[in-house]
Amino acid sequence: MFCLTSEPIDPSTLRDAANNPHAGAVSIFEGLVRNHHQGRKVLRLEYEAHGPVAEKEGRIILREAIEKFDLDYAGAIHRTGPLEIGECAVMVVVSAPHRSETFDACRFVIDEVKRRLPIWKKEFYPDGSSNWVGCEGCTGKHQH
Amino acid sequence: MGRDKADLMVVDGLSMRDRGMELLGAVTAKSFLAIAEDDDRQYHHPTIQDLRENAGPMAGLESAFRHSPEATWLVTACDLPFLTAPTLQYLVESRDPTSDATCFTSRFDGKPEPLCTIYEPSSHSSLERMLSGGVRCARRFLSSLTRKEIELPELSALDNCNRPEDLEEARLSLNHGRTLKNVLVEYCGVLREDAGCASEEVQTRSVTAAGLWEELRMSRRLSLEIDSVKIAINDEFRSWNQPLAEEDKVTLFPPFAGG
Repeated sequence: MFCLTSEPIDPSTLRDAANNPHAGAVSIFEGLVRNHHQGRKVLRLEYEAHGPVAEKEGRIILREAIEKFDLDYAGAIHRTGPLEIGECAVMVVVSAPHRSETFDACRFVIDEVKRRLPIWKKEFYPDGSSNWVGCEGCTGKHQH
Repeated sequence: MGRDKADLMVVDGLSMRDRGMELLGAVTAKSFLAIAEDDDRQYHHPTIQDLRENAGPMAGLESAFRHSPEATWLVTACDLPFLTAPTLQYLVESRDPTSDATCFTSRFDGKPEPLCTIYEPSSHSSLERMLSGGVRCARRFLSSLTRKEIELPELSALDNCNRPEDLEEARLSLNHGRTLKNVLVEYCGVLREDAGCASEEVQTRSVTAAGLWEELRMSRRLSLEIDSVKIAINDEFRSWNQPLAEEDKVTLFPPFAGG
């Protein structure tokens, strides 16, 4: 199960989905909005996602995790829109017969989510400025 | 890709260099290949060597005027795979000898195009003056001249190619022709802010997504380089070489930053 939501993430809903009599372990990763980035104080964030592609690719990542780590369940949810400091931006839940696979799978899913999903983060700073994270170094020079 | 792209790229069975010389030969009394001051390769075309290094196309024109100060020079770049004989013919027919130059207006930014341009002998003195003053931008030089500017009869005739994706775009479009297509372009994140809209209908003659990117990058002033941008066509990730079809939805993704 993968989805995007503009509403606050309710951790219990996703956690309960991982319940399975075959599973002996559940691991959860929660990514939270922190108040700093690369030494700069951050006031709040805004996430933007391309819904159709992100949800399709998100489901592919979860299917890959289930196969790779022999999971009983894999689910993830990612926020969009404005978020305050401390809010949950992304949550990953996996279950499997034994704990080792769940730790590895949790890490795999969050790493792939960050690498492959069309989701963008804009940071807002105390001086009133803002920045798209990840686009700082790739600004192009226009050729003549 | 530097100067050697003139060798790499084959159009109509000719290298871009040979094709360029053939096009020029058809509309001029005599044509020359402008080569760098340290280029000691053998060419089967008459050459004029740059007199100074690292001055770009302005150095080529300077050497041409030193070679024949009374001549009117038609200058083209070697990396214009879409340049055709009719476009060059139109330039020659439109020539205004009382101006310093006759040139096309860029379809991307409305500024004069310096590298498919007729330079009259009257432009020689300002060329030398600007080169001595350290100016190396051919466009800046052309902008300082009195000139007759004309619209391109073929819209994409001066689209150049600087990257492998552009070569593929050029190769495909020359083989398959460039038909007009309507596509929906979606912009995300910083690109949405650059473009000033989340999506728009675009008419394009580009064959591949890379060609469309090049058009949009210029006309919408997009701030990213192609290397950092990914695309989806109809909600599927695709490569830049993907040919475009009528009614395609093309989504442009800046670097991902989820999590």
